[in-house]
Amino acid sequence: MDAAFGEALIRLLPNLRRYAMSLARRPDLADDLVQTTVERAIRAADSHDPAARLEPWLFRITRNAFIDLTRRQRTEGVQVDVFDMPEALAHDGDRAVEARLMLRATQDAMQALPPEQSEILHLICIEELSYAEAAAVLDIPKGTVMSRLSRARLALAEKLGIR
Amino acid sequence: MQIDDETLMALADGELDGAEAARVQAAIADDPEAQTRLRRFTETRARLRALSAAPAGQSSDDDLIARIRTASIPAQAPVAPAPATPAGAANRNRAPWAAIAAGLTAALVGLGWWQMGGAPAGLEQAEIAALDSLPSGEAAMLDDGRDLTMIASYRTAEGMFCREYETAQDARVTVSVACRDDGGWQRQFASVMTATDGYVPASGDIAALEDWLARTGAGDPLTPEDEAAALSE
Repeated sequence: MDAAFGEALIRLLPNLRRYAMSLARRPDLADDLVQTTVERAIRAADSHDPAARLEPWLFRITRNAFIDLTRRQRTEGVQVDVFDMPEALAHDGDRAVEARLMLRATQDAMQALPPEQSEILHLICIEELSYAEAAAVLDIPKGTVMSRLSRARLALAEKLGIR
Repeated sequence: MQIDDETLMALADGELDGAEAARVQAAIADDPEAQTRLRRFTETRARLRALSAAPAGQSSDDDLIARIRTASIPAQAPVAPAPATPAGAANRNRAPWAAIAAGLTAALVGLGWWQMGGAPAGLEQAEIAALDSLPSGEAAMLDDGRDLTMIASYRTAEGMFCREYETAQDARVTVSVACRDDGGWQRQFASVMTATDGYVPASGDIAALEDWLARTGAGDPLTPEDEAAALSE
């Protein structure tokens, strides 16, 4: 594995953790997923086409790792909200509090969506993958990405009170 | 004209090309209902985008970073046992290839040396020109698109001036040795190597060359000065 690949992988660790969290919804499982993703990415580094973006390639590994994980065990633990930051709320200005509440509302709305919808929203609106890249990660046609994403966006807008 | 949700979403997500985006924008310019629908997509995207700045969890990545950095250290190529023959081929020009070659021996197919049997081997004019003038360690592009890299020059026990060089085209590399006699350059050896995976192999398996160098009494590669002197003869 060359050093440039390693550094790119390190740079994307927060993205991987975030995506893993969106899939697993539990920090301990997300840690496992990131760990697995890193190990698999190191082993398979040679198979990544340097001309292609690394994100979709990594997300696909994470997603497959998650599928493996859920096949092995039922993930029925407590759901922990990583956006629960009461200590930060105490001494911030109103604007910051408002932003945080908005963040929190968005996060809650995402959690309330079916996994199929929150996942596609995550890949495209948070990780900013293109439709084609998300189609490759999810292994579905681009047309399915668009119809699923459109339904998910409207469901989210409804929950957030966006008219 | 009614613009459907998926098209509005594609506009909000920057998935439409310039002309298409302009067409859709023009179509909804006087359509408040369509603009409201568009806003649902731009707003949801903006709200989600804000999440990307939020912390992704409290776990430290230090261990993972250390793990990745460890894996990033270029693997040291196993050093091949020094050949029993005199250090004929251990010349400075092949040295940079050694690490690559060591890792590639398994990827080589169709490797084989053969002796040219003294018959005039078809050397192209451009190859002859390179043999006549190109210093070792330098590369030249031949007319037919191949790359030629001069590896080293030798003097055999009989005093014959010989040069080892590689020609490469895509993944196919030919290592040759040509020697100069009264009739010009004659190719003595050629080895074709084809690399898999697009890697260009170096002269990895050079046992036959080592044998030849030992048999002909060729010593160490000529120094640049001696080589230049031989070339000007």
